[in-house]
Parts: sequence; structure tokens; C-alpha cells
Amino acid sequence: MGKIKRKQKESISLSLLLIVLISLQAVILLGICTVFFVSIYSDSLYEAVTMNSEQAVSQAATTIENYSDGIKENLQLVSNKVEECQNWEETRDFFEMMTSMRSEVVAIMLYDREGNILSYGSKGEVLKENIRSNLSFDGGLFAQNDYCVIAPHVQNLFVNRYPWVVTVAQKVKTDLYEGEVYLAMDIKFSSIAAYVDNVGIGQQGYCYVIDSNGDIIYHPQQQLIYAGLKEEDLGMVGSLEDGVHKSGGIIYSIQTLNDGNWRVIGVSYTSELIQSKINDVYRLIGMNAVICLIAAALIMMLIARMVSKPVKDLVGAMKEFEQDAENYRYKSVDGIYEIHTLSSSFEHMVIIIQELMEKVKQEEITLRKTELKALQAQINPHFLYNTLDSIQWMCEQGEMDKAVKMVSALAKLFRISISKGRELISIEDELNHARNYLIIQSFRYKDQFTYRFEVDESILQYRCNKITLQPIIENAIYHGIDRMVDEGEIVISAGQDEEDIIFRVSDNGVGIPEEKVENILKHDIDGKSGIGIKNVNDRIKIYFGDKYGLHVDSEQDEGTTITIRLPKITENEGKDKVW
Amino acid sequence: MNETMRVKKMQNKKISIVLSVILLLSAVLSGCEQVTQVQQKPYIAVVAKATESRFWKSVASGVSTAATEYGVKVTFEGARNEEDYATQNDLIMKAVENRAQAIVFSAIDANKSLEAIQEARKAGIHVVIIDSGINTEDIDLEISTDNYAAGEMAADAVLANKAQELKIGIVNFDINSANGRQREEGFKNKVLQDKRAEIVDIINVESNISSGNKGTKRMIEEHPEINVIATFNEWTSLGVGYAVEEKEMLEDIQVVGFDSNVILADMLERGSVDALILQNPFSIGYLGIENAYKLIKNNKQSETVIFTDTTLITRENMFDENNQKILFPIENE
Repeated sequence: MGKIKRKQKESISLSLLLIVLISLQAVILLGICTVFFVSIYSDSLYEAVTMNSEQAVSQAATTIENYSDGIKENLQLVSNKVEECQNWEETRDFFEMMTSMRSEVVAIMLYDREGNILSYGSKGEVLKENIRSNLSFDGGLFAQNDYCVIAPHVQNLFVNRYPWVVTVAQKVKTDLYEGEVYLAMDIKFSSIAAYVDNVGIGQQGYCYVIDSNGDIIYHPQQQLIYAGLKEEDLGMVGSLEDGVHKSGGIIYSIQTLNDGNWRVIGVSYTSELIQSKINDVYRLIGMNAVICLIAAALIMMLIARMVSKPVKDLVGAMKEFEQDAENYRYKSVDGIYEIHTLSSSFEHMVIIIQELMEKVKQEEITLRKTELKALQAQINPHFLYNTLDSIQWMCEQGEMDKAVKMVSALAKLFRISISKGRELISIEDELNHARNYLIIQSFRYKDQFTYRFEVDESILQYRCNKITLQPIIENAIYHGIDRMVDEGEIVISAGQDEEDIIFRVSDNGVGIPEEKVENILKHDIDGKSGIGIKNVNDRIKIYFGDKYGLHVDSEQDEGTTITIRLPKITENEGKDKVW
Repeated sequence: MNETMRVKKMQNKKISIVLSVILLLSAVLSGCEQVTQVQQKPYIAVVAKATESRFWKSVASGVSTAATEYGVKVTFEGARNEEDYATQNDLIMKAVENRAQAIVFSAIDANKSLEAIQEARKAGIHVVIIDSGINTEDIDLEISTDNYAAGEMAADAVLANKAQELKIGIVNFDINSANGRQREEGFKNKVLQDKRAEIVDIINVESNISSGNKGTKRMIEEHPEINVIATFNEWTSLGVGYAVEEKEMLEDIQVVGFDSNVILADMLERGSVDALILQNPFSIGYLGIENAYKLIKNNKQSETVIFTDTTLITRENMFDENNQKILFPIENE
């Protein structure tokens, strides 16, 4: 038992094993799927982001190109008009009209080679009297190019006006002035900036514009950059060619404008666009995993309830059966097919085993009874020989009365001994049997002992095993009285207590040594009549159970008392049972 | 045996019920979490000195840029004028009532708003001071110009004057305003290290053009020897500029002012004003919100003071490429 128990503690239970295996499988499967799915998903996301960024930049570039083309056309238009003008007033009126009509045109100027203002128009603004370093004029640049652009700067030509502008300029022919004349248009920079601002790539992505030197022309977060709160890696971006580049979680999409000067840079953050979506996927899969695990646990609990618990119960039942096979009761349990089969097989087996046990037991009892009956039937030949010898001697001595008594006693003894082969006889008969035996023995052991019966008359009709008292009396004579010098006395009492019949055979003989008292009921000590004390005890116990039987009290030189306890059985009860 | 089996079965049932309830709850809760995340934008209340000056408009621009970037709800409110601390206190209390998680505050009076700020602190609100401080240590962070150093920078501009004697008049705004006093102190300490320098008069005017203008004119009348005037914010700079123009003393008096706007730029170009100390109001506003947001998120702040840049702009360098950007911020109209 101990060994089995230890084994169970070490081994894993079926349900736990199943839970672990299935959960493990689910997790591994989910993990593999996740890795595959995420890699495919992130690739496609990256592609989408790249394309999105490229499109946004290309759109911004096209818009700026269109815008600058429009400006160039306007400039040409103004230039053509200037050529037609007959005097400076006409140009001023025309410039004023143009600037008032076009909100993005801040000012239109005519300069000579030195930058002196020949004519101007600016929505009615007042020209400063004293212009220091005109930022909208670049003599060198104007002289070298037919058409040129001055990068964004502050216009400082008009009183209390400092707008940010981009200056576009071209040479113009006019009859009003002899030298070279430049026509310059200051375009409000914020109108260009608005186009760039509106290009968003994702939530945090944006576009900005740099010139061919890599300096920022416009950046939506210009103020952050000027304030030193943000930096753009202009050196790195400036060195990149047009196209899409990935660098440290940022995707740069670059396109150079047609005029070859400005470049539009699209910046988008992969971390923001891709990572957040992938995190969503991870979260979703994580939640699925949790749900799967919980589902697995629930399924396992179900399995545990349907399979492993009944199995465990069955194991427990088998152990219980092992410990107490005789009185064990088992009822088969319902459940899945296998369990039900197993359980009902076990129930069947329990019943069969118990039947077999009962059968074996009954057979054993029957065997014993047969043995005992065979013994009962035997009369010790010594006893018969001695008795007949005594009778012969009496006849020879002419003591006919005594001889008749002796023969009569012997005949009664035998009749009761046989008693139609029944085991149970009335107590009255049993007492008579004892009396006849004592009559015979008292002839043989003349004057060596006396005997006395103390009988409760009310019990005479109860039944008892036959030849119960005789072997005990025989024991008292041979082992108690025979060795005495004085005359002994044997008292046979038959009484009852509340439940049982009690016989008592007492002698005042030498007594039985203590070590022998214990053995007397365990080993066959053959009485001369053929049936030993043990035999009597065994028989009573076989018939009536362990509660009944013999009890020996003995004291050296004082005498021995053997008590016999029997159930109260009436004649009918005795007949009902087949003994 | 049967009894225990029944009990065990009941236990199993209980466990499965509990598990499924947990599952449902977690699903519902995760859904809720996403909803609440959307709803609960942090709220930061900005209580400014004013809202109309170029300086405060730039601060507001920085505030809104940062608010967009960090996804916070922001209110930007100021007093009616730069003496009106009572309105500021009302605005602070309003922010407390509206359960702002942080207040970004610029104090008109370094002492008069202590109680209101204490109230806000008690309500567990983070307080970030910008531009001008108050007399308490119980704030999270102060973001401003290094006003003392800015005063010294103004002094450097004065000391670049080649005149034999520097008779200096100071036109400062509200005497209770912390930043004005610090600037004045830095200016005085630095400029007086030069033996040519002498401070002839110091006046405190209200922080508006007309008060500055009147005060300056009176000072010039009382002390005709003055050849340098230093003044410490946008409105007083304008007041001084107009006064010098009205007195036609463009050539005679060197004016060093603070902050800029289009008119001040014009004055600088024409010579009514000779130097301007430019703060970085956009940065102040931006950093104010950025740090308030970090405080709300992390509940910790390693620094206690952040100084933003200042730039000295003179007539000579005002159109340098970098200074253009500082002097004339691009406005997205």
C-alpha cells in the first residue's frame, strides 16, 4: 500500500497533463501564427506607409510646382504689361491693381541695376523713406538670370510691414528707363507654406522644403526648430537622393522640384504608423491567447469531471475493496462509455468475488462440520472396553443390579450420542447424557469423586450442541480428580443469564497449570471418549459465532471451572435452521 | 462518498462560473479602457499675464503647438491688464473647479496669488510657472527667461555705447512683478560696474503704452541729461519709443528695450529704439505645456528651473538671416 501511495504522489494526474499539453500546443500554435502574421502584416503596412509617404510628397511637390509655374506666368504677364506702359504712373496704377486683386502678391517692384525703386505697388502701403539693405533685391542674382527666385525672407520696404515673402524676378524691357530694369514680385510666403502644412502623413508625419544647399526653406514646425526645441538632420537628408529612404524608425520620402532648386522632404514615423498597428495585433492575439487558455482550462475541467475524476473514484473504490472485501458495496457510476463499462465491470467483479468468497467459506464450514460429525460418531474404544470390562466383572460378582444400571446407562449414552444424527438436542437430553456418563464413570472410579447437578428447570427445552458437557466432565475426571488423594467433587450447573444459556463444570481437583490453560482451547488434547475440549469449543463457535464458546478458569490445587456459553435456541428455531 | 462527489461537482461548477464571469469582465473592461482613454485628455489651464501683446501671442502659439503634439486640452486665458492679479486668481480658482490637472501660470504679482496657488496645490494640481514667478517654493517647475542674465544683456548693449558719460534712466513696470525686478537688478549690477554709468532715475509705470509714454516723457523733462533709457517689457518699450520720437531725441537717447513686435521692429530700424532683448516666448509656451504634460504622466520632475534663450538684436544685425526668424515669427494666417 505504502509503495502505491508514494508512486501516486510522484506521478502527474491525467487532467493536469492534458491541460499542460493542450495549453502548450495552443500557445505554440498561436506564437507561430503570430510571428508569420505579424511579419506579413508589417511588410504590407510598411509598403503602404512608403507608398502613402511617396504620394503625399509627390502631391506636395506637384502643388508647389504648379504654384510656382502660376507665379512665373503671372510674372510674365506683368512683364508684358509693363512693356506696354507709357509712363511710371501707369505702371504704379497697374501694380496697385494687381496686388489688390491677388492676395498672395504682397508687392510688385521695378528696380534699376543698383536696386533703386523705379516704380512699385503694394495694396496702398507706404514705402519707407529710408530703406536700409533691401532684402528683396539681389543685384548679382538678377543680372545673371532671366528668371530667379530669392529664398524666403522678411520684406522690409513698407512702414510697419515685415511680411515673410519669396521674391521672384525677371528682366523686363521698357522704354521708360535706359539701363537694365528688373521686375520683382514679392509673394506672401505663408500662402506657399499653407500647401506644405496641409500635407500630413499619418498623425505625426509632415513635409518640409529645403533648398539645394540643404537649408530649410519652410518647415511646418519652423518655430520649434528656430527655438532649438526640434532638430532636423539636414546634413543626412541633404545627402540623400530622391526616393524613399528608411533611417532609424523614420521614413524619408524625397523629391526634387522641376526647377532643380527646392526639394520636398516627407517625414513619417514607422513607429507611429506601423508599430501601433502591430501592437494592436499583438494585443488582439494576446487576448485570443488568454481566451484560448481559459477555454482549454474549462475543457480540461470538463474532461477532469467526466474522465479523470471517475477514474480516481474507481481507484479509491478498488482500494477500499482491497481493504474490506467482504462487506464492500459498490454501485456503478454513469459517465462516458469507457468509464461506465469499467465501472459496471468492477461492480460485477465485486459481486462475483464476494459470491466466491461466501461459497468458499460455506464449503469450509461444511467440511469442518462433516469432520466434527465423524468424530462425534466415534466412541473411544478404550472407554467402551473399560466399561464392558466393568460390566463383565459385575456380572461375575453377581451384582446384577449394578450391571443392569451400567448397561442401561451405556445404552442411553449411545442413544443420545446418536440422536438421529442431529447436532442440536434439548438441554434435558444433554444433561441426561452427562448423567449417564457420570453413572458409568462413578462405577469405575468408586469413591473417588461425587457429583452434583444444579439445574435451572426453565431452560431444559432450549437446544444445545450434543456432547458438549461429556468431554468437559471427562477432562475434569482425568485431569482433575484422578490425581487427587482425597475424594473429589464435580458440580455441573445449567443456568441462564438475560441472553444466553450458561453451563458450568467445576471440580476441586489439582487444577490446570497456567501455561496449559491457554493451550487447552487451541490444541487437540484427545479425550479418552474421542472428543476433546477444543472440539467442543470449535463446534459451538462454528454454529453460533465467536461470541459463544468455552472459558477456562483454573487455580492450582483449588480446582477448575469451565464455563460454556450458548445462545437460547428453542426447538423451532433449531428446526428452522438446517444444521 | 456520494455526498463528497456532489460537493466536488458543485465546486467545479462554481469554478467554471467564476472563470466565465472573469472572462466576460476582462473583455468588457478592456473595451471600457479604450473608451476612457479617448475621453480623458489631460486638461491644462494656462493663466497668462495678458493675451494681447506680441510676446503673449507667441507664448500662446507655443502652447497650442505643444497641446496638439501631446494631445492635451488647453485653455489659454489672461488678465484684462498686467496689474489685474485678481482676475488671475479667479482664473486659477476656475481651473481648480474645472479639475485641471496642471496650471501653467505667469504671476502678475509675486505675492498676491500665493493663496490661490496654495489652493491649487492642495487640490493636487501641478503648477508650472512661466515667464514670471511667485514667492513660494511650492511649485513644480519654473520656465522662463533667465531674467537676471537678460538684464545683464541689456546692460551689455548700453555699455557698447561710446559716450563719455552714461546718464541712465530706467522705466520699469509693476514693482511687484518678479521678472521685471530681476531684469532691473541684473541690469543695474552689470551696468554700474562701468564708471561711466550713473543711474539718474528709476520709475515704475503701468504695463501699457500710454503709462510708459507719459512716465518717460516726464522723466526726460525732469532729467534732460539722460542719454540712455532701459526698459523691460514690450509695452513699456513701445511707450519709451513713442516718447523719444515725440521728444525728437532719436539721436540723443539710446533706448534698450525688451521683446518685439512689428512697431518695435520699425522703431529699431528707424532708431527710436537702439537694441531689443528678445526672449523666446514660443519656447516658454511650448516647454510650459510639454513639462506640465510630463508632470501629469510621470508625476516627477528632475529640474526645478528651465531657462530659455535670449537674443540681443540691434539695428545692425536685425536682418541677419537667423535674426529675421527670431524678430519676425512666421505667422500662418
